[in-house]
Amino acid sequence: MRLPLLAATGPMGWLGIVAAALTVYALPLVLDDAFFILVMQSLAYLYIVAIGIDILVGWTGQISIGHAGLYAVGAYTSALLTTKAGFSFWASAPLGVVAAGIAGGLLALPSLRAKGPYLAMVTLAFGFMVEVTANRWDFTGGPMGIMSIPGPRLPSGEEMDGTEYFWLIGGTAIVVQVLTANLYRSRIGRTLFALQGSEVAAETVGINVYAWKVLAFVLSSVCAGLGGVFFAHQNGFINSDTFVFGLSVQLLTSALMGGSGTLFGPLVGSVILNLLPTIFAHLHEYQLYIYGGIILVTIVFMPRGIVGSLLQLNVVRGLLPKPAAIAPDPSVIAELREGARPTVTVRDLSKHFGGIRALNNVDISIKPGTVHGLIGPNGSGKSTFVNVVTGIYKPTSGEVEVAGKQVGGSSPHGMARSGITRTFQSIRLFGDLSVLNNVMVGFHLQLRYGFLSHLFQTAGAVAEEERYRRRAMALLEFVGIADRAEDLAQNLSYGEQRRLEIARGLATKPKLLLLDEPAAGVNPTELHYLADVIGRIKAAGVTQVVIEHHMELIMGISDTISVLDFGQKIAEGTATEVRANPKVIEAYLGAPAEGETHG
Amino acid sequence: MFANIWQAVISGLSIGSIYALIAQGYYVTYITTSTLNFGQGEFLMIGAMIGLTAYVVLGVPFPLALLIAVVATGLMGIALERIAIRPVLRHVLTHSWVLSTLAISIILKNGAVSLWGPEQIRFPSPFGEEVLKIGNAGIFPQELFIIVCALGTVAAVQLFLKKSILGKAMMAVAHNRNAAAVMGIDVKRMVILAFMLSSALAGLGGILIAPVTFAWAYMGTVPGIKAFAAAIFGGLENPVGILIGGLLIGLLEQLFGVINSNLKEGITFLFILIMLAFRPTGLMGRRTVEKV
Amino acid sequence: MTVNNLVRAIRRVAVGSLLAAGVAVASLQGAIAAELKLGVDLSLTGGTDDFGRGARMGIEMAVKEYNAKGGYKGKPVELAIYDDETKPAKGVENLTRLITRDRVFAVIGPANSGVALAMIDIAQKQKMPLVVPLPTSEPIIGRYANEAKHYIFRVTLNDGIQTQFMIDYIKRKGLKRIGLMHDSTGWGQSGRETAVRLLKEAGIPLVAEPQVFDQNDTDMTAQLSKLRDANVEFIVSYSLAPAGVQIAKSMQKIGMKTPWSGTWGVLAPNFLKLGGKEAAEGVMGVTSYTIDHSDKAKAFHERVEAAYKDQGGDFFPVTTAQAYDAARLVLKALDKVGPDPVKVRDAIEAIDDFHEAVTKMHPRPFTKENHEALGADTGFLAVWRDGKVFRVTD
Repeated sequence: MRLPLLAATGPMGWLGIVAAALTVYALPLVLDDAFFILVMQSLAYLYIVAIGIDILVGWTGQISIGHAGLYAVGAYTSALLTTKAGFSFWASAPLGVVAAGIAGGLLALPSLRAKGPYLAMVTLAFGFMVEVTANRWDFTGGPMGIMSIPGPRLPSGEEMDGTEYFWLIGGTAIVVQVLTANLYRSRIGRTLFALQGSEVAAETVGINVYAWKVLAFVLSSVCAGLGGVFFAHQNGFINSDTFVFGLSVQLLTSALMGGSGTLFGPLVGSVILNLLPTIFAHLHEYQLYIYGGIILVTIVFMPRGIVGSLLQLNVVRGLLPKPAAIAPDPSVIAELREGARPTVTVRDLSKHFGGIRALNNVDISIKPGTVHGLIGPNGSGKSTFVNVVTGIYKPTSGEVEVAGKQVGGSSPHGMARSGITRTFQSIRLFGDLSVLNNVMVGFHLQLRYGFLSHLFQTAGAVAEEERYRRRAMALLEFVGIADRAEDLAQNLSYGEQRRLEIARGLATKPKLLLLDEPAAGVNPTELHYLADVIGRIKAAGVTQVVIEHHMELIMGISDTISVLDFGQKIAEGTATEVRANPKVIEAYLGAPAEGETHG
Repeated sequence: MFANIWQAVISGLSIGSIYALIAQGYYVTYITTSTLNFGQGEFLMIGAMIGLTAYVVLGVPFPLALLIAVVATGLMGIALERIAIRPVLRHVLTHSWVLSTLAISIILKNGAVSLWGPEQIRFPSPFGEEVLKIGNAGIFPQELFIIVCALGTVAAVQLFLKKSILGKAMMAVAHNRNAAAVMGIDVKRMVILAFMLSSALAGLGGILIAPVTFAWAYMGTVPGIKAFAAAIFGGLENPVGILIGGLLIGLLEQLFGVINSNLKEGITFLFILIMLAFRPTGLMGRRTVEKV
Repeated sequence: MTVNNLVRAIRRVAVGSLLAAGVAVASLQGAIAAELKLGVDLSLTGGTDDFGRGARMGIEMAVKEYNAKGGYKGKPVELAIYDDETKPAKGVENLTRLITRDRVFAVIGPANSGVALAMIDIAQKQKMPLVVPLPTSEPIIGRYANEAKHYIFRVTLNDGIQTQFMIDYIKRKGLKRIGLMHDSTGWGQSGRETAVRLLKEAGIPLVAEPQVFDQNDTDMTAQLSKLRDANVEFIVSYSLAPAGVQIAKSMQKIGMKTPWSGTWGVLAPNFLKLGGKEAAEGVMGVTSYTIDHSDKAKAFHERVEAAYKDQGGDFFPVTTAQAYDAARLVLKALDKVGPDPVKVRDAIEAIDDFHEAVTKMHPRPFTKENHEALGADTGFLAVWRDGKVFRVTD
């Protein structure tokens, strides 16, 4: 029997929620002291911010050293609405959160294509801009700030006291944590982790990376804004001195120190980091040494944070109950045959890079249900071909058609939607996800339940996840790695990883699956198995294009082979035909010397 | 009006060349390790403070004090690489180095406060305080020295990287680590050298600028961040770009200050945000097409 | 599913214990609270840290001398000192801690106007006397001035009084074109409002937009050029010593000789140390204290120099002297009524025999209507000449 909401939260989960609620209720009553309550309030809302940062940094892998800016947007919006426009807290708070969410969405835009230090700079610049604006703009009160910010009022008309305010913040924190946990274990979290694993691979299974990045930014900034709102109404006073770079660093550290990408990392991290100055208040000369030292030690020795590092220990892992076995649902294999398997035609395709013609007027027609090999010497354009057909490059001219419909020029996720997907020459898996979850990501375009359903963990969403887990299991069985289902993808052997990529590709129910040098670096046993898998995929009805150097493999499995050289198709036919074609021989071995012939 | 603009240009060039100098430090470590020292500003500060101690407290002649400051910060760069970069290079978190170098900067700042106190300290310029005139813009001799010395150093480092054996070895590591290793280049040593050079550049910047800005424990944070912005602006992998970026940011701030003093602080970051939205690898950065 | 839920439960317990442990440690410190505690909140790090450190020296000295004479009924007074890092939220937190954990009988501090503006709400609401030794922003005293029992007291010249000295000078010299510069801190902003208001009242409006600078800015040529373009004859500046020196140096750079005055920050010895004699020459400021304005001041200065030799001696005399007097006022009140904050407040207000001041405050520094110990008759405009501070007499 499933509940309509929080459908997958078992008895232990509910126990945890109740325990947390009781803790929040009891703490201020036990520690009846205005100072401690103040500290606990801060802890609670900084924890909310840390959760949000972890979603962006730990799950999605986007660095941010400017979150103080988002925090500030929430704080100022709510403060201004209550002081200047007479709103009540209950109206200004949600508006503050919305404002922060919008700011986060705006911040996402320049961040979409920036990576590494460039992304750090974007967030840094954003943070500084907000700080400087808050400081210089009269509307925000500048460094003198906004005073006499009212707290939330109870229905009786009284302002909440410290204890009640803590209950409000603590209760909100519990709700945020539960919702975040729901997302973490759902396709939402999975997709964000996939972005961190490999953006390119995510695109090729149909994930619109830019859109999801914006989502990550928005979720993160909603949390930051919520924290900011609570901060603004805590002391009745805010000014621009608070929202400095140092705060962004502190917030980032609290999220990472506990353990990025883990469910409770942010809690551990923010508790430790925010209690520290209070405990060491008497040692203020050494405070920064301690603070800096803790960051350094944690980052160097526990890069996965405290919780993450604990999880690495076999002792701890041994304590966790084993996941239930999943019965595979083989109907997924039968479904591969479904739908019209169209002819994929590449017509007059060209791709130029500046002066280099990587592809020059290439015509290839791929018959449904066949294995179509693509060979050629190095630099002949094979990889470019795959990249154009899967949308990673845009063609300079020419067309890619699926069942007569023009799809060339789409983005990779657009191509995936049209049914074209691929595996990669250098394996691109979502290393931090389990093997099973890697395949689950492949189901992206088929899953029906969206963000809200997963946020509240509806019965329908949970049921869908379970259905697809069984199908994923069947796919893993199909490629022969079902026994590794719960292992982390990055711990698989090279050959197993290749097979996992193939399973992921099959999950998209492709109309065309391109395998880019699947035999690269594979040992003879694996090679044999690979040929077997390709054969079985063909038997299941899926059209494949295989790019390879390994002649024996290609000749053995292909129905048709096209040969490229210097970006042009120089031959096409069966294996026997191609092998004897003098142009092909010349392309690989060079022109015969005077008086010699190839024999 | 034109007189004000000209003054802004002259004033901007001197701080801009410091940004360019520090930015070059970012460039050197970024191309060899894909990391940079977020605490570069603190190394600038240490260079200034050590220079101060040598020149003012111990009475060492200025050229020698400069040398001492540069060497000391260079040596600290070696320690930085060992403590905060090497252990985190192969981490799961691709941005561990941001936090580890930030942590070092926090510790250095506190150390400086313990050693020299939190206040500003005067660093008399070895060239005196007589105002020189370029056109009708005033400039202190120290500022002129900054421009000459900083830009000269930037040029010298570029020559080193392009012409000397050691420099070319470093560039080899930057282009392709594995290939360089296979050719017999000691990659680890080159990385250490990169950080030594990067920190020494920051230290030089510190002792150059201290007579203008005062020497104090908190002097490094803002220049470090502005120089980072300069490096990003030009494109972290383009040496000409970062030079232009540094000078440009110095100029922009002064020029916008002339228009409206309120704009002076925020303008740099606004520009960066807008620029990065359109050119995510910097204005002149290499547009890398990801090889799939 | 069960995996994560069990883990979740375990972790909640773990975290709860962690929290409890941390709180226990903190409360241990409270358990050793002495009965007689004087609370202090200052900026010991951050932007105005030299003010804070100077003030701490004065307070520590006052308490040491008080305890040496026997303390309160034989019991020594303890100091509970916290650093607010020049952050308003921290100041509020520290004040709350002093009131509820340390249970002090009075609080001296902070060092920074921005922090003060946040703290006074709590002090007034919680009925804790707060003696402000350094921040000069007017609303600090203004906000609750009309309350029946006003808990905030100040022992320094506020911005209004300081600016008035400058305006008197401007009027005396018949100057008409005035420019204004200020830093981007809360104090600078509040000072700007004060200056604009007073200049308007005096009928001498500004001829250019107020120019703002960051307190760590090293080049003010842009701002000064704008003022020069407007042909200002005098500049009122809200800047501390480092920024003040940069203003002077930038003026040198662009060959600007306009007379200008800052508040007491630019008369600190720091100003001379940072800028040298030439930069300081002719720069004016307002002060109520010089180390030799009275015998008591001279003696005090020597005591501080001796006691804090290793910390740089009397490096910021006015902050140390004002904080010293503030502490002694509080201790005098303690002597009269005992360690009850409400009674201490009443006693501070009623003191009329404080003859031992080292600053220029009167034997009766406060009344019910006036909580500013240093008024217009205790200050003057001064100028740097040849590395020394002289009263402006013309």
